[in-house]
Amino acid sequence: MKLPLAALGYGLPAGVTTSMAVGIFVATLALIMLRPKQLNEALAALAGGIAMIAAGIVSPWQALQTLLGDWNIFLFFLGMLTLSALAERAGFFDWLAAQAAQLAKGSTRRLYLNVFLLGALISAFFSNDATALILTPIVYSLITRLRVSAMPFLFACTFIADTASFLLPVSNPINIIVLSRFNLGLLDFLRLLLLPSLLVIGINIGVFFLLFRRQLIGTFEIKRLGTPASAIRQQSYFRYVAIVLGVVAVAYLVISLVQQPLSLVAIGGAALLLLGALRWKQVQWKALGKELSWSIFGFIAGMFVVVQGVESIGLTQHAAQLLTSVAGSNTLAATLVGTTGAAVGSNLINNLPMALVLISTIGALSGSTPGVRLALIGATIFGCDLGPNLTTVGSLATVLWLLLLRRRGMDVSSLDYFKLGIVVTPLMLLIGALAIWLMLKV
Amino acid sequence: MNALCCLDGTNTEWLARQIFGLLNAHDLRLVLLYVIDSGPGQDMERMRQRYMGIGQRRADLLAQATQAEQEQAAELLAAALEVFRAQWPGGPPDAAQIEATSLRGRPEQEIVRLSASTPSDLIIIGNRRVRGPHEPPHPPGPKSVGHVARFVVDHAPCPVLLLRPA
Repeated sequence: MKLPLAALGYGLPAGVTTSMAVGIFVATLALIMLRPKQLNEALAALAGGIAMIAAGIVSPWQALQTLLGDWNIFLFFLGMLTLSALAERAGFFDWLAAQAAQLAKGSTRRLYLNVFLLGALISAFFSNDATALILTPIVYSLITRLRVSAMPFLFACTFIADTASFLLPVSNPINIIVLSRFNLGLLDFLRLLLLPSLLVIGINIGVFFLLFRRQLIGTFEIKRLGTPASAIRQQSYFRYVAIVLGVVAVAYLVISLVQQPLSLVAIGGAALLLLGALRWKQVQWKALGKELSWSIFGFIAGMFVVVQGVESIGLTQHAAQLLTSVAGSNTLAATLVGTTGAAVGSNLINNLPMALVLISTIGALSGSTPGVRLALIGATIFGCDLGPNLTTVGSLATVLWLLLLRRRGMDVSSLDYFKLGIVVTPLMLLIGALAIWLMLKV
Repeated sequence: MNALCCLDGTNTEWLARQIFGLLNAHDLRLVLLYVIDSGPGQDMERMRQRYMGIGQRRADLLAQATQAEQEQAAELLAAALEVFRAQWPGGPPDAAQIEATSLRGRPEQEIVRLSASTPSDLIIIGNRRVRGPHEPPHPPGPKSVGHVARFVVDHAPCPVLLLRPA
């Protein structure tokens, strides 16, 4: 329930309260982006949330209600991170990468395709961050051993992480946030986004093959790598992990089909892996708390409250009115405007805050048709998931690539990455948006 | 003269041609150095922990990656020794005249540290890495000297011979 403005900001004039809320919002985003003195994003977001409460823009009760209401998202994050960490501990991702190399049978081009497909698979079931942050170092190690040109492969990992992050609801935490706020299920998601997803993955692979064609010529010696089994330290634990992950993958699909909270599957799977890890002594109770860093939860919680503050002064309603006047009842306009706004916004203020602002804006839409609403929801997911490929600041994960490419004849600046992003991403955004619109018509 | 020649993995043959064109090989004692850059690996670990919120990679898998880098450095240096021996004016040099070594760390710092501890009379270094097989070399200007060469020029305890493509 929204409070009237008079009840906010300790009875201060509405103009003052609005200015304060906008000031806190802008200051929080500026702190997150600029990170003065290496300030942690979580601290910046939490400070913003606390400032919203201290200024009386959001009451402590409202903030608590929002955070408790979003338990599904927090639990999903916890489960997904634990699943990824324990699967990595078992050598699961290294094993998959070694399998991808074996299947390439010595051809660099086939290896490139396999890395794309593996990245898409990991993004689909473990989220985009797992591909960017877990698969990239593994692929880097793999290609160092195979003496293959590294740059195309590292670009492949970081791009496919986002490009394949709307194959399934669990492929990106943003999908879960959007779906749970609008109460949509797997079939709605797939109907809207499966075709666009497959199309943009195809475009991504095709364009990269074209751009890097000279570096992908030739063969490699698979003997340099050793067998996939060398990634496994504890055979029984590995088998157990593979089985649990298989069950989790099926459960994700079933649970999202019947529209139950996906966090239950993630947490359940994580608990099973944890039991296995303790049973086979792969982790120790004492070190358990250190295995996960908790700052990501502070970041999300802080951003939830900050965006709620902006919402309660009616700013997102204004955005909604603007959106309604631009898109009207035209689903094509809604899809294109929504996608562009989400993609550009993700690069300006990071994709999680952008998704939260758009969710709030769509929630405030009045008088728009269900078609337009659905178009905007699809565009939000699509734009916020894929948009970060445009620049390095768009999503937390893409920052990684720059650090990797400094090495060995790969003196690539963020301008080079931007050039690559600017070639591929707008094309993918346009074709994907048109596909979403097409799917709305079917 | 003890000279420390810094390889970047892409410029061996070109460096050899330049050095033997400019210096008298008679009284030259060359140390070929390749530094495995530990920066990206450490940054990558930090990123994983910061954004993904999970602990370090398994020690044995990290060691695999480190070993691969060392093997690659060893291969690179063996190939470089062959190139330099083959191009040495007046036939292959004595074993004491050329050696190869690899280090791990920040290249610019390791180069300066080794040149001080050996000690060296001269550091020979290329202006910057080539950008990629399909990219033209950097045009003249402030950006034509990369950060490694720039640091070495600024901090070296001895003269530096900075080589750049014509």
